[in-house]
Amino acid sequence: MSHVLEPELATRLAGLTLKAKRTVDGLLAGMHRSPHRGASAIFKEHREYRPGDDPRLIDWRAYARSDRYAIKHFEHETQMCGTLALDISTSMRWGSSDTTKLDHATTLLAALAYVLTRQGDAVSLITFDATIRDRLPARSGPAHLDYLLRTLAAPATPKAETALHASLDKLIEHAGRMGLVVIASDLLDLRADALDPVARIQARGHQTIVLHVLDRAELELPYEQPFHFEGLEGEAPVEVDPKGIRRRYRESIDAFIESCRRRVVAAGGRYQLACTDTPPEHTLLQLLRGS
Amino acid sequence: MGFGLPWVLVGLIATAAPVLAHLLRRQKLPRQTLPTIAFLHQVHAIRAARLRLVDMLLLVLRVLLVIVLVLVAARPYRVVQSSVTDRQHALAIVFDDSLSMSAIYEGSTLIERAASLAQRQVRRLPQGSEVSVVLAGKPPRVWVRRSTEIDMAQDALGEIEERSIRANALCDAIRRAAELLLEGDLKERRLVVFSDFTPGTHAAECEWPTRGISIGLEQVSTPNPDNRWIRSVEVTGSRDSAKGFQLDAKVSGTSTGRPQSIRLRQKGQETQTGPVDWTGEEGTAVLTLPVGAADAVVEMQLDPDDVLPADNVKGVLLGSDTIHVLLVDGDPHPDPRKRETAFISHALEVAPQAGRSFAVETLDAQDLSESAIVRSDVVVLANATLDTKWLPLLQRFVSGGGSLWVTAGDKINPRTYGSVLRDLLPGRYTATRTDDGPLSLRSEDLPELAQVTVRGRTPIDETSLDAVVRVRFSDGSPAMVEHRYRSGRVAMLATTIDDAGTDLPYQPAFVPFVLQTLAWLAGRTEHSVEPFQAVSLPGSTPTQRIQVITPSGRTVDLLEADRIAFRETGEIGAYRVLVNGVHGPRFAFVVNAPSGESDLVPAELPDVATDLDDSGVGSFRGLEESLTPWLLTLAIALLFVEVWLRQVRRR
Repeated sequence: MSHVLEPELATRLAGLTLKAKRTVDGLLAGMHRSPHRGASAIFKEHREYRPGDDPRLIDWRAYARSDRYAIKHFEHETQMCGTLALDISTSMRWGSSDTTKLDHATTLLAALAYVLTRQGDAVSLITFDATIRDRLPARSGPAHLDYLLRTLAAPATPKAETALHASLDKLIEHAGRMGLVVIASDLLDLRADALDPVARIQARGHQTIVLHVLDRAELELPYEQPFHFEGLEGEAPVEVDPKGIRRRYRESIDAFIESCRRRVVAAGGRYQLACTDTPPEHTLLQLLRGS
Repeated sequence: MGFGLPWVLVGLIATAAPVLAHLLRRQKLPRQTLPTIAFLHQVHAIRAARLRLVDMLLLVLRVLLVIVLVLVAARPYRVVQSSVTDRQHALAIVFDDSLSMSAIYEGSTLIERAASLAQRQVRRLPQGSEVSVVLAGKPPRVWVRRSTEIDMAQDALGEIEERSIRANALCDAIRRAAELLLEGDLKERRLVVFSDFTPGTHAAECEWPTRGISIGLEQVSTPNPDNRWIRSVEVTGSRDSAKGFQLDAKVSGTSTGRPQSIRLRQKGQETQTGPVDWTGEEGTAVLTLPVGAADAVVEMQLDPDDVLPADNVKGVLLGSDTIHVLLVDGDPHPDPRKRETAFISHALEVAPQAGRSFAVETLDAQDLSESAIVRSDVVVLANATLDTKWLPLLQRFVSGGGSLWVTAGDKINPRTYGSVLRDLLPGRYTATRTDDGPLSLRSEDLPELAQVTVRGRTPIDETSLDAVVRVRFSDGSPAMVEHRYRSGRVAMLATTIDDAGTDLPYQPAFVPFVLQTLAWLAGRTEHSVEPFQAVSLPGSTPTQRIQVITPSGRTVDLLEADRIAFRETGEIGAYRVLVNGVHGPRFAFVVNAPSGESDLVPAELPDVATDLDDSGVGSFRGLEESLTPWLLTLAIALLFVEVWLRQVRRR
């Protein structure tokens, strides 16, 4: 087991079950429901036959009972493919304490990978900054999990600032079949169309979860003295006494978070704020209980 | 502005501290990375410009605060002039232009120097101030009356005559100046006196204003004055004596050690010179004047080699104290002893023994002339009934200052007197003569008249409101009545002036009675006056021209009038008067240097509250007013502003 997932955490997460909200299309049968009708032992419902339907699907027994043509629907339990997308841009490597946002996001994604692997789902990993940096194909099994965790533990060095729009667009190409897409990022790409790809991911049948990873200091600007503030991705420095602008800064950050949440939810995805000082299991519990 | 501890101002270097702190603070700001810096930019962009301004204001404020605190530590003060001079106020200048101020010091008179100082004072007046100038030479004159035109006042001060022979009227001038100050509306009032404050000013005796007026004294004097003057001239002898006149002159002042002379001038010509013998600070000189050469007035002059030449001249009257009496005899007689005027003439002859000097001229009534009347001080109408043609002349004579004494007798016509001279006389004769029982006379001034016995009299009724009964009969009726008529005086006697009906001429009281009456009647004449003092002279008439010859030889024609107040007495010396071109000795007079003006040694300044430096030439006494309270207030205000700016910066 990699150091990314602490054994203690791994134990705590052992009982958690991630249930995909939507049925996924998987190659492996599992406990997830398949949206595909047909060859399945689990009856779902009858529906009146309409011209164009496959006649082979007509339930003749139902016809005998009701003298009406009806088609029988079944549910299939399938193996889910989870795609974990990790923002490894420079801004993610910052933290006001020992834990950077990247550390926190890595932990969260590792936990999710562990959960998914335990329930037999395939997990893939994508790291990105302005573009896709690393990609592990979807596999299942402990060996793959171990390989994935090692990759998470040593992400590639970022080469550019965050470019969410371009990265997520590329992510769609690599996400494959309908499944679960988990994006862990600080979303510090303030362009208006930065989160537009989320809607396209959803349109491809994926369940999208956005983990918005932020540091407490980024949320509250707790500094008590003037600083010469510098950005991490080429922004102009600024000298500010935080005491004078704290209230307005918080308003601005809150507005940013709310804007992200609204855009993700509007696209059909799920949004979860993941503050670095919140224990990862709490964040995951919120996420899974919500599901 | 000044500082009690000027070396503390070195602390102003500390003003660099806030500047350095400001710069260092900018450089030493700790660095902090922040991924969400974009939001800082969003929030801070609006505020940055304001912060820069606030920071700059804070910097300026702190520099100012340091400056103010250093200044406070240096104990700053400002020099303020006297409480009045730096504010709008009313200034009254009393300018002494008396004779002593004509003393010359370093080429200019004290008047010139004082005028320069006074101009400097006026020049310093704040806008809107009011200035008055009163000249303190006698008589005091308002030279500038409450003017706000400073330039005009300065010009007026420059126009004061640089030489003067006036007496001193400082006290009157101060009183007048105080009145002018109190007339104005300005609450701040200042009286400044420019004078040499010699003993002649009598400054200590003046009534100095004590409330609402600050007083400044500027003494302009001559150090170690070298001055000599003719203090007095005693005239002995008379025109009747064979030796003529002897003039004993006494000179005061400082002896130069050089031979000095005194000169005698008559009618503008120097006729004699005599040496001055000095004993200490007193000198004497004696000159003798033959009778034939004697004029009514002469001048004596010392060598003009001192700082005040004007007082080196003195006019001397030769017998001008003599009262000129014209006796008009209405009952002439070939025997002089039986004339109506015989007794009064005899009484006047013995007058010198009583210290009186009379020049008597006797004329019969029919020989009366205008010239004779004009030359006289007193005309005595002794039992004379005049032709009516003389009555207007007499009226003009009395109006012009002459005097008339009417004595009764059997020749007078009461009706004529009562009708023509009704206004002139203090009473009227009610009958020509009445023979009553023996009466005596009563007089408070001369009780000896009680021994007089009167058997016949010409009764008098008082008609004038101001008539004064000097002598009464024992029955209470008026015996002699007097009153003033315009410039002259008139007396009426109810008895004769000879022995007809009375034994008055034989009584011891007769001579004193006559002399007192004539002295009272002639008492108006002033023959020795101070400069610019008016002298009463008869005016010209259509037939008689009166002229005055001044000491400098200038001839002044007097206008036609009953009497002239001659005021052109601005020269020291002898003034002669011509009547139709003939010398009229009784009108001659002299103008002499005012007493007390020749002593140029400054006296002690009067003990009055002054706001000026006594010895300085227009220098003001400075008062140090601390500026610390003001600066501390400013520092506190700056601190409040700093706190406020810091609050603004945090918002």
